[in-house]
Order: sequence, then structure tokens, then C-alpha cells
Amino acid sequence: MKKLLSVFLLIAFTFAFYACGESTGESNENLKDKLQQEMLMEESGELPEPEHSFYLPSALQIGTIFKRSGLGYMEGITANPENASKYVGKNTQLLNFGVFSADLAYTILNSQSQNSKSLLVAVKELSEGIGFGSVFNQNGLYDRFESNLGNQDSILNLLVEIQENTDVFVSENDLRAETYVIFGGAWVEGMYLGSKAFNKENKAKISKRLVEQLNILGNLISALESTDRNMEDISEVMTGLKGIYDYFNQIDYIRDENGSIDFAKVVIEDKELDEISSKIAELRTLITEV
Amino acid sequence: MRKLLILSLLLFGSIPALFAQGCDWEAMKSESQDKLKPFKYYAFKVSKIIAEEDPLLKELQIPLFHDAEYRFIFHKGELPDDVKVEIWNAPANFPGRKLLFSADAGQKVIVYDPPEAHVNNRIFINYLVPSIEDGGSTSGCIVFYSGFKH
Repeated sequence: MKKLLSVFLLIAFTFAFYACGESTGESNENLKDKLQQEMLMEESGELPEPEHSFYLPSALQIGTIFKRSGLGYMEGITANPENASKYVGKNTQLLNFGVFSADLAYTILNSQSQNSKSLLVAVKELSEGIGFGSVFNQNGLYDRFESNLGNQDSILNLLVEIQENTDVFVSENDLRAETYVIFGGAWVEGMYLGSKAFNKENKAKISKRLVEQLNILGNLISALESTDRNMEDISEVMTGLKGIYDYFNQIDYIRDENGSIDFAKVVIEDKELDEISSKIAELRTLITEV
Repeated sequence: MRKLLILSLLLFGSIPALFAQGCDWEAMKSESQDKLKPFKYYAFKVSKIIAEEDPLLKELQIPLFHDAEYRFIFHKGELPDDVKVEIWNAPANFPGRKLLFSADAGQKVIVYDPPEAHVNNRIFINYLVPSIEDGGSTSGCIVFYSGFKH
């Protein structure tokens, strides 16, 4: 990293040297001194650390990936949309907005129009509560969504449009912390659906996806910890997420000597898979119970 | 109540103004959107860039799914040519990380389709902003717009 910054500084200052040399006649010595000074600052660690930000995948993307791996539909495993109005507290609403978004993607990807409709109502209701209502009100999105529920291609395009509108809305209003909490709910629900609905035939493929998702959990925890949002009321959820991540990290045999995982080939044993599934189910109950 | 209203107007009124400063992100996004086909939308992020006396490194982590196909589009708008866009396989503080892609200097709109070998769970986008001489500053933004094949 230090080497990178030094090279970068050298290039930047070489450029500046030629530019300034022609226009202002600033002496070589001054520029060299400045370069040396900045490199010394960098060596001593005085230069600012990189500013980090995270992008987390949407519920639709997670659902699509599981679907491509052969995850089928299982009746009755999605959250109860009638509970949408019962969640109080902004963080709880954000988490459950994520849960219902994952369920909505799951039912749409499996052409379950009737269930999709009631989940859409739940998502819309919670979106108002968390201040994201305008995402659905843009260009009659909600009405178009409702009227296209039977048309798989159109509805998938609308889900993508909702995601894009949400990303723009988040950028415009600086709502990163809120989206991290939403993703927390969507991630747990996606994992829950993945771990509940696999069978003998698709188990190998689905378990690879679960491992891939567990690796993304590190990003989610870092993202949640990077904000100064007050999350005391959902501290148990944070503890649950960290517990799953710690458990996942101590499974050595899925990593090579450098600690890397080959997600195309990884195989996880039933014992660990069962333990992870059980931890996910516990956390999901914590989030969705009323 | 009136004070609260004024405070709210000041607060919320200033956010779009800050967001828009030196950054016509809507036009940049629309230009990027045209280059996305045949991929479907995956991610969009605007990173505000303020170049000042000290060089700046902004890092953006993007999670990827190992067998999906992606397209990344970066729009630098009116930022100077020497603001660099690089893609790495690990974070900036990781020793021995590998550079996967570096955009040519001077390119305003960069389109990159990562080969399958580079798509392993996540990538790290670095925006390198050199320092500005004589205490000046330049502000703008980089629009990251990306798609994947379902």
C-alpha cells in the first residue's frame, strides 16, 4: 500500500512538475522538497487512510443467484405479510423491510403471483414507515408492479427498476446506514430461504451459494459498524450476525493456505451446514417475531 | 414549531445542493446507462471527490457472485484526467494484493467487463486523487454504474 501511494505521489508530482514548470517556472528543488516531504509523511503514516465504502447486493440479486443454483419454491416459509404493520421502531422496520423484500424476490422468481401481491403490500407499507415511500410512488411504479404481477419478465424488470430507484434515493439522501440495516434483514432472510428450501438434488450447489453469502457477511458487519447510527435496539441482531460469521471463520478446511475460498469448488460438511442453518433460523425469528 | 420547520428546510435543502456541487450525476448516470446493454442493472454509486492539498484514496468494495458476468462503468465527469480508477483483488491495506485493471488516463467514461477469473466474491475499486498545488481544490464526482447478466 505504501509503495502504491509512493508511486502514485511520484507520478502525480512528476506531472505537476512539468505542468508547473512550464506555466509558473517553479523551481525543481521546491517540487522535489515537497515530494520528499509528502513521502516522509506517508512513511510515517501521516497520510489519511483510504476512505472505505461498501456496496451490498440487493434481495433480488441474492434470490436470482439461489434460483440459478436450483433453489425451488417451498410453501409457507416466507414471513407473514400481515405482521408488517406490527413492527415498531425504525431499525426493526428497516430489518423487516429487508426480510419482506427478499421474500418478494423469492416469490416473484418462483412465479407465485398471489403471495407476491400480499408481500408487495407489506413492502409498500413498511417503505412508508422507513421514509422510502417515494421510491414506489415514482412513475406509478407500485401500480405498474401490481398490474404486471402475472408477467414474469415485466415484473423482474420492475424489481430491477425499484432497486435502481432505491440506490439513487439512497445516494441523494445519504441513507447508507439505513440500507445497511435493510440488507441485514434481506441477507438473513435470503440465507433462511436458501437453507430451508434445498434438497438432495440441489444441496451441493446451494451450499456453495451459502458459503459465498457467508463471505459477504463480513462486508455487512463492516458496513454496519462503519456508521454512527444508533443500533442499540437491534444489538442482539448484530451479536447474532457476528456469531454466525465467527462460526463460519473457524471452518478451516474450506480455505486454502492463504485463507482464500474457491467458491466454485467449495464443499461444506453437513454438520457445519446444519449448525449455520440453525443459527440463521434463530436470528430470523429474532428479527421477524412480533 | 416554526424554528423546527426552518431548521428542516435548511438541513434538507442543503443536501441536494451538496450532492450536486460540481457533479451532474444524473447526466453521467444516463450516459453510463446507455453503455450497459446487454447487462441488467446491478449497482449504482456516486462518490464525491474533493481534491485538495493531500492526495486522496477512496475505496469501494463490491461483492460479486462467482459465476455471474458483470460490466462496470465509471464516469469521471469533469474531474481532472489524473484522477485514476483502479480495480484490485484485495483492500488497500492488504500486502501483495493484485491489480486487476487500471483505466487509461484521460478516459472520461470507462467500461470494463471483468474476465471470469477476476470474479471471486468481491473486488476493490480505488479512486486515486492526486493533491492540488497552491492550496486550491477541485470537486466533482465519479459515478459507478454496473450491470450483471441474470
